Amino acid sequence: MQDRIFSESMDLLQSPNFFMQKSHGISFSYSPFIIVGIIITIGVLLYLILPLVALILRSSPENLIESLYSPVVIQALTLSLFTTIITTILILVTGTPAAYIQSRVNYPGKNFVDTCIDLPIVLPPAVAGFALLLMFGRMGLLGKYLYLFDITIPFTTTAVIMAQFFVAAPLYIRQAKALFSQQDKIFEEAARTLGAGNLRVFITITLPLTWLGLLSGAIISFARALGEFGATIMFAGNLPGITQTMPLAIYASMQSDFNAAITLSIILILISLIVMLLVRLISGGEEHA
Amino acid sequence: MKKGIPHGFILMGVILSLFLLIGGVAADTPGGKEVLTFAAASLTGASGDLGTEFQATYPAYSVTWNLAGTQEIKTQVENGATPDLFLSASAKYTKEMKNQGWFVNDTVKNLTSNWITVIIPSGNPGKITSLKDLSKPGVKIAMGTKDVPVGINTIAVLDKMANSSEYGTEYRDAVINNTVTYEVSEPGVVGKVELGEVDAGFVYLSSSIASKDKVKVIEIPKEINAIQYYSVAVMTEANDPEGAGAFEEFLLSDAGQDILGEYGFTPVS
Repeated sequence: MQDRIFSESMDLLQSPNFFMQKSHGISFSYSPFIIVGIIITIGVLLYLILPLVALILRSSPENLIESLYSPVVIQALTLSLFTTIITTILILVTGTPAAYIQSRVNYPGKNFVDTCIDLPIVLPPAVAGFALLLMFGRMGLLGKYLYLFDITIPFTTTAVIMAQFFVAAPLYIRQAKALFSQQDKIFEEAARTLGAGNLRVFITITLPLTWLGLLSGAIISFARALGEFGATIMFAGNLPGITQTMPLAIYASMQSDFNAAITLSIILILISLIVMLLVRLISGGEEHA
Repeated sequence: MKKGIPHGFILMGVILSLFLLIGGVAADTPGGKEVLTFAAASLTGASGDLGTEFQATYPAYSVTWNLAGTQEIKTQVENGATPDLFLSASAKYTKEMKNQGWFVNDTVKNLTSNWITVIIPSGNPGKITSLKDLSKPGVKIAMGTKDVPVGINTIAVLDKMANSSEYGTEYRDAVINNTVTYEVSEPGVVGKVELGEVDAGFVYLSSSIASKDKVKVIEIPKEINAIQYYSVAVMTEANDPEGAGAFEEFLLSDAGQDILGEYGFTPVS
């Protein structure tokens, strides 16, 4: 398993451990090459971290606590958590079978399907939101038929969840697919020899062997959904309590309620930090399993 | 691992420096000095013609636009952006920025003005024929947020209607209740109406004229309407104060005012 991951590290995106690289220390002398490398690394680190520090420094504990109780913050936080949890559950329920099929069943054009599933990862979210609007909007390709039954999706909490699913699901499916393909098939084959059906093999063998990796994939998707902005504002609009999630509230209150914007930003930074730590912890656990 | 710098790195260094060199030269290439103009998003429609016509009159210059909600371009300036000219759609924000010393004082002028109007998609999905219909249950309305000038004025209009005997406070509350999205810039509202995703939107009169093929207009009578004054000002820290001054002069000239008029803006005497 280790060797395989290492050999594929040139193509990080393909690895199931995309988000949980383990360091493989090698001994070296402090040649100028390494020293320049270290200086560049420190530069990159400062560039990535200092803006976040600047943001945190603009706030004060009093401001933070005070604005935590402001309606904008409470509504946005509640809505964000509610929608993101639903989105993550939907991703788990639909993404797992999709990833399993894509990793185990061969059919013509499978590579193309894989590419289509990956597409939203690199698609600008504004494009995603616009596309969703033209599909599910009241005048949209499918939306106009839903409208006949009095169903309108834009500007509802459902639209928020759909936008989040669109941008976050591919991340989970990608990770799950890689996990399922790299899974050692020996146990599954043994179980099959003993007469277990596909479903039973999946539940008793495949899932127990991959669940930690799946969990870290789900956490990454959760974080992506939580940060979703572009697709949401295009497709779901901006209405406090209904569609105004945390990133939208930050954007909308940047001018009028600076403290609320900073508080929401700090909450999002904290959640992101916890998410990355969790994923790292889980990947550590997986190595020992 | 061999010591010393590999050839590949030297090659990369050379290529990188070449890029920097080309970049540096390209940035200095003359061809009309650029007047960097930060402008309210509602000027988007007119901006193209204004820029082209200005360049035709003053061939030494060209205009680079940054169009966004006034509150947003204001925030950009406060956080270090350095435009030459600033076109605001809000008297309030203009005053704030003037007091903070962002503008050369005697260059702050009224540019034009704009009224609020209601637009509906050409298909009229909400079956709206009058302002009264906006308070019907189930109607979907889009307006600007309370920070973007168009939203501030929409609320001002609704407040005037609330105080009038014809509409009253129930009307205002019903309209706000029917609002499904508060867009962060005026074109956001126009777009949602043009796509037919909302039944009505509160926008500037200028936008209703710009998209008259895709929307129908329900005018709001002057006595319950709110006028928006646009202003123009040269930035204290302008990179090119002369270019900025020239563009301001053009905007205030008959030629500039005519273009604004064509796009539905009301000249200020």
